Amino acid sequence: MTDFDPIVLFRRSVAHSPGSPALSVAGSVIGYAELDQLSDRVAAALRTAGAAGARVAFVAHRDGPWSYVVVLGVLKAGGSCVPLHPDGPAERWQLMLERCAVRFGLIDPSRQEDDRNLPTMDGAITWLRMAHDTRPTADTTITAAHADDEAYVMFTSGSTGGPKGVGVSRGNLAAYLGHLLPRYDLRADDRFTQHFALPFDLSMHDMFVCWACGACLCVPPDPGGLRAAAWARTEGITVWFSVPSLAAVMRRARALAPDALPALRYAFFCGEALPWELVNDWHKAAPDARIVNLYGPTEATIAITAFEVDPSDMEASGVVPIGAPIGRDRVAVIPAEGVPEGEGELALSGPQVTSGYINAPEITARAFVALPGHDGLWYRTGDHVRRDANGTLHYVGRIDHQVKILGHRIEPGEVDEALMRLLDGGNAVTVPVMVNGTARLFSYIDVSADVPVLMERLRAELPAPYIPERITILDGLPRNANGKWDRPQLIRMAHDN
Amino acid sequence: MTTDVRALMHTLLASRLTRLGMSVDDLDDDMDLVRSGLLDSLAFIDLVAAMEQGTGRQVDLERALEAGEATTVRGLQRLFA
Repeated sequence: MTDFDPIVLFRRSVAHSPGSPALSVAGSVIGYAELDQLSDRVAAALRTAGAAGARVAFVAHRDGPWSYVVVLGVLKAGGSCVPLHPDGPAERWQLMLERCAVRFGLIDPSRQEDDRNLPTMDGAITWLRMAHDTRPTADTTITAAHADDEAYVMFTSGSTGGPKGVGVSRGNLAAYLGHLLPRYDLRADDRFTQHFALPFDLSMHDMFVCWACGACLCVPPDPGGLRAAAWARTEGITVWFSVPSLAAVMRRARALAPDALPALRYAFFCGEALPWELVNDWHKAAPDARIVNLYGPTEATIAITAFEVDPSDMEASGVVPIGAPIGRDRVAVIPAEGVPEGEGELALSGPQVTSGYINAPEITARAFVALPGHDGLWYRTGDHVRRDANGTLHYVGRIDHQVKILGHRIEPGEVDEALMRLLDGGNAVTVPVMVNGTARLFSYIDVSADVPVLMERLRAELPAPYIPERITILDGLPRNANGKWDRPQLIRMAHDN
Repeated sequence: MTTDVRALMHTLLASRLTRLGMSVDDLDDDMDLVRSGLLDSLAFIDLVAAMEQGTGRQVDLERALEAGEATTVRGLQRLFA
């Protein structure tokens, strides 16, 4: 195990300051020694059940300490965390667990409502009950983890074939922590936000950057950001991390007044393009905070490039650059026909780049490739970037149809696939439409259907951010001169209605 | 006046309700528009902005949100009462 292994870092903080607060959630505060003991119990139970080193699924609620204890416990048992979003839907949980052949899951016995929805997979998965138990355990073994061992599985949207599971190793996570931590002056007396849902890989940054520093991780009671500024003041937050759209919600809720967040020392943003306009307002609200734009796909572990904003050199419009690599990973811009020099698809290679999608060799081989003139394996991000004269990278857009909705990567093709399956013949095309500065999905179909029923069945298969704003029935879907779906035409139609 | 605010809210929520297979009859006074999943936080702010436009009144949204009840059907109506 390396010096930056997440459990090594956590245990160092336990040894250094056992009594310090490690987690503040739902009105209770848990210290480092207590969190260590609680997670030892989970690790011991997993070993007893023969689940050491296995993938372990759990419904990742954030209104109590249970999920956080489970993450630590699974890693201590040398296993891999498979967090499931509490909102489901259950059909999707099943698809995810099947795809990654998950054989063990943990249940919080105080939440019976989950039990009914949990996939049984005809007995292929064993759900273990793990009560929140504060008694110390005699078995405090930590299963030694190797750099190649999987640490967590996070799912991303696939245009065909549904969600893809990215397996991230302990070595990948240690590389990220080793790259990020030395760059910033984060301290034990800091108080970190925990905005990201656990099935989102940025939550791993929340937990392990905070716990590496011996600081307190604070979980907001209201995930949508409507009360985030008031909460941050009450909690005494000093280190902020969220998607830019959460900050946009705060601004539109008029919560980013000058000096609204005076205690903030750092603000990290990741997951979406960061508009300069928002940064200008954020800087006024939190004048002492260093603002850092992080960029990176799940496939390259959390974030791989960074750009720190210089308050004396801010622009009025456009988006903040994504910067340069934070560590030893390399970036390449793949040239393409018809785009200016220095522009093209961004590819990544190095210790943070994962080995690909679980049980999906074909899509892995398409995305993780050899590049002419470069050694090593490269992950093609699908992000179109521009490299300027200083070597700074700027995000330009996607080379495919993927959209970000509140930080969620969504392939509209996945919505189309689900719709066409439900329509039983007929076509569906889903397009992103900007509504008040936010992307929303609009779907068009070319067969008659009961739209409310269709919506209901779609909700049983796909998570909330994938559900279109509206499904419109057309006599025929427009095609362009090349015979492909005319998406710009559909976007115009959505605006006209 | 209250009925006008209620009618306006119903009009503005109609397409969202359809998306969830619901109708205005399902809008309980105690229902939290965000926690129920009917609106995400941005859609809630869009709704408040549209109601401000519809009523010609500006509300102190941050204060109302901190006080807690603004995201329920009743709380939102009170905000514009």
